[in-house]
This record gives sequence, C-alpha cells and structure tokens, in this order.
Amino acid sequence: MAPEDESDPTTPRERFGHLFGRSRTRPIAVSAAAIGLATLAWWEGAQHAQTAAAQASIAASIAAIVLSGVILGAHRQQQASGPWLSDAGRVVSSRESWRWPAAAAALLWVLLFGAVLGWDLFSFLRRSQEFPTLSYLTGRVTRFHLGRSGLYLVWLVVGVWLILAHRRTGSRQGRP
Amino acid sequence: MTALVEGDVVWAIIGGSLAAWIVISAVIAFKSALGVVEIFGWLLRSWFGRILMLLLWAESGWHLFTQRP
Repeated sequence: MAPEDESDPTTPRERFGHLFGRSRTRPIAVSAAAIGLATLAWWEGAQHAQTAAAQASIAASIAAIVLSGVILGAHRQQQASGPWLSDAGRVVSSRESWRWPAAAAALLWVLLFGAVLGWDLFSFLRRSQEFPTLSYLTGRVTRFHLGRSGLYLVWLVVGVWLILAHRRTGSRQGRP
Repeated sequence: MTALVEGDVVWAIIGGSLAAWIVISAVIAFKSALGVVEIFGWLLRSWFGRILMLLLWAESGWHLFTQRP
C-alpha cells in the first residue's frame, strides 16, 4: 500500500475549506446546506420502502452524489487506477507486507468480515425469526420515522465523504 | 419492543468486536497501514477504489431504503 503524499492535507478545514471559500457568505451557505439536508432526511423518514416515492428519492440521491463525485473528482485523484492496481498487487504479493503486525491485522479484518458475511448467510438460509439477517435488523430501525431519517442522513453523509475525501487539492492541472 | 433472540446475541458479539477493532486499528495506527483510516485512505486514492466504494454505498442504500419492508 503506497504511503500518503506528504502534501496531503489532514485537517477537515484544509480538505473541504476550498469548497465553501472564505467569504462572509460561507456560514450562510453551510447553514442552508445543513437545513436542506435535515429537511430532506425528515421527508425521507416519512416514506415507505417499495413505494415509487422512496425509489425515486433514493435513485435521485445516488445520482446526485455520483454526478457530484465525477465533477468534483475530475483530475483530483491522487493516483491513476492502473498504477494503483499495480501497487496493490505488488504490496499483496510482497513477503515484506505480511510480517507481524500486518499479518495479524489482515487476519483480524478477514475474520471479522468473514463472520459478518457468514452469519448473515447462515441467518438468511435458516429463514427463522430466531436468526435475523443484517437487513432484517436494520429494518427494525428504518420502520420508524426518526430511525429512517437518521439512517438516511448518515448514509448521505457517508456518500458525500466518499466523493470528497482523499482527493488531491491545489492545482487541477494534469491527470488523473 | 422485540424480544432478544439467539441471533441478536451473535450479531451483538460480531458488531461489538468489529467496532472495537475499528477503534483500536484507528487509534494504534499500525505501521503496516492496515488500520481503518489507512485502508479507506488507500481505497480513495484512485477512481477505481472510489467507484468501488460508491457502488457498495449505492447498493446498500437502495437495499435499506427501498427493499426493506
């Protein structure tokens, strides 16, 4: 795994400050965005799964995030996909990468995700109320207005983070 | 209120272990770069990793908000 660029900013202000500028209107823009997101989340909380409104709003949310990601991420990725994949292959196949504590950490990740996937599959195949699936568990939260609103807001924030985080800042010149 | 069943207990153990490991790996900041912060930092370095994460995010949202009754 390649190390982070030394020029990579670390604070949220450095990462996201350029999105809002430094003007006096910035707090207003941030507040308006927060109020807009909260209102949208509250409205989404009132929707019911498997309805046209829920499907349309989730599809629109996904489209908006992905489109924003493409626009805001153009020429701002830290590494091109080809070299990134080559680096990943080189690191995985290197003996150096699998010494303690890396090997222990990797084993723990595999065990924990294996446990999540394995137990979910087991519960799904049992089809018993004694063994709820992960999806069923989240349904216990999303069936309530506040639960659905809160989870939607968290999901949306994660989406925004995925398109903005770890981009290259500064000049937009050059690729990727 | 739903009664606690056997499967809930297993989920609580798995979820607790995963949460604990995420926190530990983030705090300890392994030199091996296999902490949660380093993994996401590495995945989001290129379009390939970022699109992969966005696909997972989109699929999970679609499932949770439009398919769960």
